[in-house]
Amino acid sequence: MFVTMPSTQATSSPVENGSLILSLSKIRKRFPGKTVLNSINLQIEPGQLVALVGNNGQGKTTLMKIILGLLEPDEGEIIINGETASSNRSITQKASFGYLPEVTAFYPNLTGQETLNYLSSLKQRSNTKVAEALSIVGLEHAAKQRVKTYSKGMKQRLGLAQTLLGDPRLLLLDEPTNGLDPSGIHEFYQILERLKTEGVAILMSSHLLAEIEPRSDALALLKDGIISAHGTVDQLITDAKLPSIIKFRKGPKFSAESLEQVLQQHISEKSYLEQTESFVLTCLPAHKQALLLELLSTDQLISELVVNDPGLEELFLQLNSKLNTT
Amino acid sequence: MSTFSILFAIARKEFIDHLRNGWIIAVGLAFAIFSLLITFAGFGFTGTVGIGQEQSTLFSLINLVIYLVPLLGLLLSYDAIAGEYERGTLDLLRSYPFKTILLLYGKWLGLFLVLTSTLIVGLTIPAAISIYSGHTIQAWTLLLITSIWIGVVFISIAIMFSVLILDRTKLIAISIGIWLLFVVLFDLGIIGILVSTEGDVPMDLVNLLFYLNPTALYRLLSIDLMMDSVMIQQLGLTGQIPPTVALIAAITTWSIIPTAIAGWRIKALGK
Repeated sequence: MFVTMPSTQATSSPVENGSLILSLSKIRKRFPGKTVLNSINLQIEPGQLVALVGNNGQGKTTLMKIILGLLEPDEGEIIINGETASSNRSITQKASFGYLPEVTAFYPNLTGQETLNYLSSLKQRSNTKVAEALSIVGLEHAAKQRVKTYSKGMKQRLGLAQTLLGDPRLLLLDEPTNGLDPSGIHEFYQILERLKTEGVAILMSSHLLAEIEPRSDALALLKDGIISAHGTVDQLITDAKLPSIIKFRKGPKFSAESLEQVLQQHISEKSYLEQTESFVLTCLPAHKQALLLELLSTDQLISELVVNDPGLEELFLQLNSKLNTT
Repeated sequence: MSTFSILFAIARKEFIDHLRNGWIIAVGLAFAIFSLLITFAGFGFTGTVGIGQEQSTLFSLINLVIYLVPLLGLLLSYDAIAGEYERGTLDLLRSYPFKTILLLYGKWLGLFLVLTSTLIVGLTIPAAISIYSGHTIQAWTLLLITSIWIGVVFISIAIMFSVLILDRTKLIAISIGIWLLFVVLFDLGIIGILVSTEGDVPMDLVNLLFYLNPTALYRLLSIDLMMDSVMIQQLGLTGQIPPTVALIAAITTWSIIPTAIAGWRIKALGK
């Protein structure tokens, strides 16, 4: 059920190869009337970005709080930096965290800079990193403004800035890109890329699948209290055998017979939709390459070919529906 | 060392927050206006408007403190922890590398400083005028210290509920309830007991009941410390006031116990 993926950055990471930053085994948490987490196993290596995806209410936030020690699990073992975590996290363990809660309003009467100075002193650091953190998240121009004048996105950036104040080894980001605009999201992932090269491990929850897909090293789908799928996005999509969608317009020498002939060789059942000028057909990954070659090499049979490969969204929907029916 | 720097950072932030939102100045000035009215005009009914006799003025000020300072302490602190919870910063700070109980003590210290500053703002002008007119500085200093102290009791109570309830809307209602209970209803209740039993209650029991109400303890302690024997006799309290040490011990207990409960509870969050 779960696979530990080798990190893309692990070889260049300054952190010792193969050492885990976080290892969870058989984590179980029950709230009155509901088992939120049933048996969670998850491992994260230095320099790895693991995306925790799942519908709302599936326990993403609960799992993060358990890792941080804000909630106590009913069962299970948590190992942080090779050290088994007791019910209270040690100061050293806490110092290795950078946490961004889902919603953080901060203090309206303090300026951005004062907020970070305050939080920095609570992390027992000097204020030297504050200016750097502000510039990394692009808030240096608003550093002297009070937080009550900040937009939602600016507060989110401030939240991200405070995670960078210590020297975090593990970032736990709960829906971090909520409220960021597209350029903000782009910059946000650039920051994460940089942190990854420094060996920082990142566990990030999100339901914005299109956004997470190209950026995460591994994906953990949380559903009904277990991690129902874990691996790289590519691997999960391949394993799921999701069909690609091929669209094309009829070429000058199009004929229904010749198309039929091509399709017969590659698709067992007729799974296409004919429109006046175009065709839409679905095809499993195993047949895709051969089918495309055939379509393209048949003289002027088609024009304007578009191929939509399945993405995380399709995977997510398939996994969800599969679990719902079982 | 780091423990103190964290305590200081939290207290400082709390103080700046209340300085910026205008609390200290606004509430301090309102308090100053009330105290000035009492100092100047409080004895207008005697036929002369002006500075009254020191004892009578102080007695009126003690009553003003009983009405206002508990309310200030409660309003100042009711959302001390619940506010952090609702802003999402409580979980954030709980994940930080320091013991969460320091957040509680730091808040306590910060709110203590806010209350002290507010009362200094509120009492400085009337005190200056009154001392200039011949009243003693000692009386005003005692008034300030005991006022801060009764405020601290209510800060402590409010912080306790703030950790136990974590819901600002409910906490507003609870704060009003606490104020009504200790400032208004408690005395009415005791009068009710005395009237309904036609005074046939052991006085020791009534005295014991006073220990359940910090404002009653404050009143007795202030009278004990600030009023002379003539005034105490006029108030009909000769021989009725418990020993000073007992009063001080009781008020200290009232300042410590609620904070201790809050500390126990904040450590157990998430368990």
